[in-house]
Amino acid sequence: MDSVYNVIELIGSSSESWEQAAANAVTEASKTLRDLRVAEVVEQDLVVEGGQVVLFRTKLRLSFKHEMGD
Amino acid sequence: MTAATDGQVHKVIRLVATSGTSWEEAARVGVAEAAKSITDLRTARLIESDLMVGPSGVTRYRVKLEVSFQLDRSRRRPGSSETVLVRRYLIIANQTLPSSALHELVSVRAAAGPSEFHVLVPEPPRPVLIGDPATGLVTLPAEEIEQQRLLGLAEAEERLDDFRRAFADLGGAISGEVGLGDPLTAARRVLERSSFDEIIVSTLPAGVSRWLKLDLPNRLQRTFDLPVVSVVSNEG
Repeated sequence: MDSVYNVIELIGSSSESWEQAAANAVTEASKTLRDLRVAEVVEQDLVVEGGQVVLFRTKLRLSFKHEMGD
Repeated sequence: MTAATDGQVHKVIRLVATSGTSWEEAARVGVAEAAKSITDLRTARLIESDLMVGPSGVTRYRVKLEVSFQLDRSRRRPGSSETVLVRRYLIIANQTLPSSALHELVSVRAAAGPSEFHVLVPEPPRPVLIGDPATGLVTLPAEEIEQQRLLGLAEAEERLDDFRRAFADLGGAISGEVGLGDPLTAARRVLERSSFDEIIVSTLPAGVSRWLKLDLPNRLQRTFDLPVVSVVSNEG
């Protein structure tokens, strides 16, 4: 059976942790996408203000099955 | 995830930080440390995260971060699209940080045009060990030497804080740190990660000053090929 997948990238952020940032991105994505299985962490960084970490950001690559009309 | 602005030059450095609790905490530690000497730190990229493992499991969380900061001298005026060129000064001082001669020179430089200052307070010299003349043995306990060293560092931090408070109106244009090692080594570390137009060395008078005895101003000039201005004062 041939399958086609869509791949999208998302950036989630959190003031707590990179894990929470990733979870936020997945939660948001699952509102509109079905059948999410695995999210790959592509990049992590953080935002600094006044010498303090204010935001952790996680960029995720999500893939989901492309629904083809047949 | 960061956008470089047109025409600006950024320097990128990598740092490694660890924590006993989490990668996030390690990142916070690393950023807080880097921010002491780098003003204008905006983002840091996580390059690598790993664990230090001992017989009882994970002992430390370790992150390698890439931070970047602007190297060129163009700065955007707050609330406007106009850019100005700043001059950057490295101030090396310890005991004479409170002196009016140094404060005057900084005020003159600040008044001359847009400028940024970085204050380096080299670590105070380690306490000299005094041997017992009869036995030749060192009588000062190790804890006491360490305590004196920490006290010296705390005093240096305090003088630095006072200095920054005195120039609070310069805002983010003034940064500072207590640098480990002798003054030349500490200066080299600062100059490796940033660049300056002039070095200002503030010392006690000749005869009293250890730095003048070491010929620090001339050595700085020869080593880094930058204009060096010496300020001598009695106060401190």
